[in-house]
Amino acid sequence: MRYSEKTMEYYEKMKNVGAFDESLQNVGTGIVGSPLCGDVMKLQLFFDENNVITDAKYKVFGCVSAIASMEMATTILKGKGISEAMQIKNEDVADSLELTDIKRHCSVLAKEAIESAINDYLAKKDGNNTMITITKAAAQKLKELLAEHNGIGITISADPGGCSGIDYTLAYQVDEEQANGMAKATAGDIEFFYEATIKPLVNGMNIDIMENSFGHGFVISNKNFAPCQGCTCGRGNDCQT
Amino acid sequence: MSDLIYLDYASTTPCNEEVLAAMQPYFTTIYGNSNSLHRFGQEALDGLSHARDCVGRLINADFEEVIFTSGATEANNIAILRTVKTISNGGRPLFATFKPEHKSVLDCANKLKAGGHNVTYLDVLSNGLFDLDSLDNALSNNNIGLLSVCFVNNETGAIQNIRRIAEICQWKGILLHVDATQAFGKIPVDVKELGVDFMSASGHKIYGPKGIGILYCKKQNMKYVKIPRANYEVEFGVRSGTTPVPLCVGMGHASKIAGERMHMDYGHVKALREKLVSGITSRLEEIYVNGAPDSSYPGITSMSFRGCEGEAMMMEANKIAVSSGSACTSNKLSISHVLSAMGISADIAQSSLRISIGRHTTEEDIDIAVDNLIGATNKLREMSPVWDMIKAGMDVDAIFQRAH
Repeated sequence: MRYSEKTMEYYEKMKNVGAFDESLQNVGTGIVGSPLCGDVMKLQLFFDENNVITDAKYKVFGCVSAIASMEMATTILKGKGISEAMQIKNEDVADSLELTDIKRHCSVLAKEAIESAINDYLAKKDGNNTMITITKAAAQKLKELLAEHNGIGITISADPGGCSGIDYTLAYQVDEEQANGMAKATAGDIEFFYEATIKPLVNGMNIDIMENSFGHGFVISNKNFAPCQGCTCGRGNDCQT
Repeated sequence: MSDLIYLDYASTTPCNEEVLAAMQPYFTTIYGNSNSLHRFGQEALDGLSHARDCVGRLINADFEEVIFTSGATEANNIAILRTVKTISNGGRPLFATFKPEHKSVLDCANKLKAGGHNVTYLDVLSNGLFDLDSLDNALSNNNIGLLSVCFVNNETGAIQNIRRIAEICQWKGILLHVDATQAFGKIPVDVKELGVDFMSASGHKIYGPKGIGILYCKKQNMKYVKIPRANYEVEFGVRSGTTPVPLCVGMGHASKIAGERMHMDYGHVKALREKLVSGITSRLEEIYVNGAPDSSYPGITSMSFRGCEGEAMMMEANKIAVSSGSACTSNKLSISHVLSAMGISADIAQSSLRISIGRHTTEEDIDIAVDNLIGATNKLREMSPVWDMIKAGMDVDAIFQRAH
């Protein structure tokens, strides 16, 4: 098994090996993989009160690439907010480590570990486990529109990052089969569907409505992501000022 | 000086100096083609014949029953593919083998399947041995013409009861092919006493050169493996192409030495293997030796260091050269089929290493290996989420929903 210099560099470091107390409120834990495919990754993220990752630790049952992937992931996660962390793509890890094709799945698993750990943290944080909140007015309007369009619910898409904040899109869901393959959340007697991978961005959503004589518009915010104040840092929703 | 310690003798062995010296003249001075009628050819033929004789003696085979091939893989292919092709004209097309067989045999099985033949894969017990009681039954229910079995398993060292299997086969009129690659020259093999029909062996596993092996073929079975209507016939009509006399001479000489040293070599590896296993199990918990302790060739050991993935172990145990049964080290991302066939759980199979001891291994080598492996295990266990679960008494299989 020939590894790139970069992979070996990260493998040999093993600086971020370790664990946090899983029961702490500000620790998110994600365990992914299985011995059958040869890799089990446990990632733990330590958040501060602004939802920024201040520390990250990992444990791995896996090969050199798996260990290197986690070492790299934990290194680049430190200092990132949730939105930024979610932007990390498995290709980023795989390319920086120059992983061969057969080893790229290690980077995919690392990405899953990140999502898993963040989800765990958010689920803990939100004691009520209410993913989405919606104002009465917004709910009423949505129900009206759903009846008009024969929708069974609303599909949420979300794109993280950028100074303009998270880009949410709402759409009428009319395809029951497609909806069955998605994650669900209920709010205001309305069913919302979303791809499981964007759960951290959906968690904490609030849907409001602004109506005036010219029409209506839905206003979506997320209590876990403070809106960007407009500086040029590029951190977008992970603003720390 | 700290050289990497070689503990992968099951994979290949260094060529013995004496063997190399015996081969040398046949490259440069006695270089004739053994088919030629002139003196150059006849001298080469003498060397070839002597080599054939040496191999025959080691396994109690007759002169005309030893066919030189390019290795055990070719021998396997010839024995299995040609035999099945021949006998399927007579109406008994089936081929059977066991699940933990060597990849070269499994490849033959796949080729046969692709060619429309029926192939049966028989199960093994958890120790890697075949259940002889149910074997009788398994072979009755199917119309099998040829059975292929491994004498000594290349991963666990498990030794099959070939004598008993041959008896069952003879009784049922089934041809038996034995892959003796890891047994030849290491444990006593007497083809007549065992009663096998075909047998494969390799030169580079017994301190001989690479690129040479043999197929033993009982006289009356030659009809199954001869090349039909061959134009360029050598090796009693079983092969084509100029016989590589120097390599055959090498294999002959290596066989001779192996025969002379067998008892001593065996005692040597047995003692070192005991040292290795006791050294590790006395200082570490949750260590598994996979296979049958009572019926196993001690030169080959499959050991699982629970909680530590095999490839990472190989990387961390950087003073030794071994191989692993883990998914990561194969090109296919799947766990060792041998360990799977034995019903060994995924996490234990993934944590396995194959350590094979040989003629040149010293006690000091084992001491260093033991320390190295213990150090690697401790380091990896500290950073293993699976080890945490094992220590907490969790059922790892249930958690990860082992697919079986």
